[in-house]
Amino acid sequence: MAVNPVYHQTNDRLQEELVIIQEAKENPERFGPLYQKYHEQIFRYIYQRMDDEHLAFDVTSQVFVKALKNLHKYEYRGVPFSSWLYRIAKSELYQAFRDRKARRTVNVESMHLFEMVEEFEEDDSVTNKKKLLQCLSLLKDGDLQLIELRYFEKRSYREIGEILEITENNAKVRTFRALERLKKLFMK
Amino acid sequence: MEKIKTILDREPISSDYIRSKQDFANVVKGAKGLGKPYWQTNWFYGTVGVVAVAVIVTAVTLSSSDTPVKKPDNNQAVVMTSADDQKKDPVIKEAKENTDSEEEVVAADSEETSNEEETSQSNTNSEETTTTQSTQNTSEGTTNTAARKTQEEEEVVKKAEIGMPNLAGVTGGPIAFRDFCDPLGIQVDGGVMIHQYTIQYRSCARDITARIRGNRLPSQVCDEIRDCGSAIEVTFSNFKAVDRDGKPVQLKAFSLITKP
Repeated sequence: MAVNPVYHQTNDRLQEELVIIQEAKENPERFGPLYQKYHEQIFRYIYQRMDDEHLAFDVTSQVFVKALKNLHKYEYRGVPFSSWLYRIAKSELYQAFRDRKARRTVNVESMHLFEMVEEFEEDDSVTNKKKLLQCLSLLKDGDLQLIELRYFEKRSYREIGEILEITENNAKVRTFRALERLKKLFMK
Repeated sequence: MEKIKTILDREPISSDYIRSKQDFANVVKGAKGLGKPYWQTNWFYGTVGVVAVAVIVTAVTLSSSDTPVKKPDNNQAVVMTSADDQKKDPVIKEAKENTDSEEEVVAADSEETSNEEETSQSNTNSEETTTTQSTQNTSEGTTNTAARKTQEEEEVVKKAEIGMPNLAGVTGGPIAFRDFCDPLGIQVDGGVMIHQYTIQYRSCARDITARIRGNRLPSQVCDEIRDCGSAIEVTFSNFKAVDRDGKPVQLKAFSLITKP
């Protein structure tokens, strides 16, 4: 599985980011480079989970407002700054669902369905794809989130762990179990 | 629970389009405008603190001004405290050798009042001259602080006018038996009426403490002191007395030494 180059960065890049963050703590205007760098991936993360494009832009904007507002609380813990942004995004996203502004949505590409059906060692038929789509909507949110992060967004276990604030191994185990549950639903 | 919506092959959004929607200035403006919630601001804490202090001060002030004045007893009766004499005389209830326990006797006295009313009233018909005014004082317990201060000032002035309690004009030192058993009892100038007091004396090698209702010296006490000889020191204290207006006044204790 390919590694997301925007997320995984060299130490030098991380240090460069840290300098920007320190400057932005003093002067919010210096946050600009980080905003430009992460805006797209945070938007895509949010839009992947809802069906309203405008609302997705609003929520994305709100994520950066919150990030800038709470930047003084940010502490570097050896993980990319984006993992902190993802956590804020997750929180804002669920706030939007709670406020009933948006509806929880799963956006799937045919290619992803094909890969999953193959994983289940079943035929790549239209019926199976439809069935898989149905099963996805029946999954618990925690399981669905792991499937989305791993199979639809192609994130590494390390990245998943950092976004969900769990260890890499734990992310791997949980994802495997989520896939097992999906398979169980699919085989019924 | 609302069912999760699934969308297959949604039209992708281009990176250029997403970039065109970037608005960093708006984000900075939003972050600046997003202040602390009001409950985390200093002025909120300050206001709450000031209000809390004001409420506490008011409550304390009101509670202190609402403390009711101790209700003086209406009835006059002789309540002597001598265990030895309890069987001899129904009037004498209890005796205590130790004079330090006098306060307990006085406190217990108010509780015993209701039980003793029936027996004591029959003995003290002649002493009911000072009873009716005292009940009126008790309803004045709930006055405000200012009014109370004024009242206290008035009482101080009145105290100055009130004389010493005396037995036949003697306010201390030796006193003849005849004067000691004066039928007028303890008198006070200025129209003050005594309706309860404590008497302490050593009679026939026994320390006696008794709470007396009314202002007179009970004949039993007179007889006992006379029988036990002369030079007996008798102390009168813890007076409950009211002035002409029925307001309670404080009187100083005094001691007399009997002589033939």
